[in-house]
Amino acid sequence: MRDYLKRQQKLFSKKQQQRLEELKVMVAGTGGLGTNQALQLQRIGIDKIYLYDYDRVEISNLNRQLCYGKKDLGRLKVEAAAEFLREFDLETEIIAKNEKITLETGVPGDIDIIFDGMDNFESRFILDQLALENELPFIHAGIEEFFAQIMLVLPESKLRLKDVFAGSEKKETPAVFSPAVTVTASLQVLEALKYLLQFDQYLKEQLLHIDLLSNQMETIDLK
Amino acid sequence: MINLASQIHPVLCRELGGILILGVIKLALKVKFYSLFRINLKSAGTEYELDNQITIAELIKKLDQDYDGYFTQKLLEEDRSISSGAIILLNGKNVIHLDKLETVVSNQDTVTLFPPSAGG
Repeated sequence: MRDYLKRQQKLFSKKQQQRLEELKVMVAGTGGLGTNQALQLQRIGIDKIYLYDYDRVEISNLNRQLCYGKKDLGRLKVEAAAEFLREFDLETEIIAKNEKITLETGVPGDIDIIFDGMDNFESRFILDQLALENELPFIHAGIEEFFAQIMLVLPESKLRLKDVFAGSEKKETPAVFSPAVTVTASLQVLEALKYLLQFDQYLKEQLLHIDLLSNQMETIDLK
Repeated sequence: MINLASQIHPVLCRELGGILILGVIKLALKVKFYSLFRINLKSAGTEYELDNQITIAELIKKLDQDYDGYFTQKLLEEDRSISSGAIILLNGKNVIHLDKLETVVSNQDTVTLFPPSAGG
């Protein structure tokens, strides 16, 4: 076990800790959710993170996208995020992929899961399709104002993201801010881990709805 | 009746002093609100005991009567199609994949209504 992970040792069995340190993930989109996911995934000591984005850092990103500052304005997001994460000098390998995700995207062959770091449903449906075609688990999250939802879609899931969220594609730019984005991304990482490390309870054919204004989290059955 | 009750559930019967209380199971359509809908309406949902099955469009009219026209405004576009700012699930399935607003609902069904969170 890596020396800096000692304080989380009691949380996991030896097998789980070993699995954790072998995990390889794709973070699809390095915006608010994606940068927060990457920070958490690096801290818990996974093996490899592929960061995907094709955008450059804009001023409107800085209220929630934790890997960037004003000095990064105009830089490619994946390059700035990778540099920021590597400066912590932890063992997780960070790979920057400056690519727009399309149905033709070649998903890395060694990943265990795809993290949704997108900010619109059109892109998410493409990502879900890629997950299906590559027989990979996919963990969705969306955040708007004080509300969020998380859904784990497995290769064998009867319901895909589109089955639940069809019709949600066209909307004006959602209001988002850092504390709510960070909570959502952290829960997304937790839910992914519960599945990947084979805890008994994870989101099975359920949607996790999060209301941060009323402090309520509820699962909605999708079967 | 008491003997019968004892045979059915002796422990419960003792606790109730040997008196069997018969409950009536209410059959109703459950409608659940989440997110801003819940906060705006100060309600987690409602139930309707239906005489006959109704469509989602008719359910929205019923909800409008109880919640001052709120749901037409939130769930429908001006052309009366389902708004992109609202998800309507029938027993966990998006009604867009069923018969949209003509999807039929009845007692024992659960309709879930919420605005999807799209950002990231």
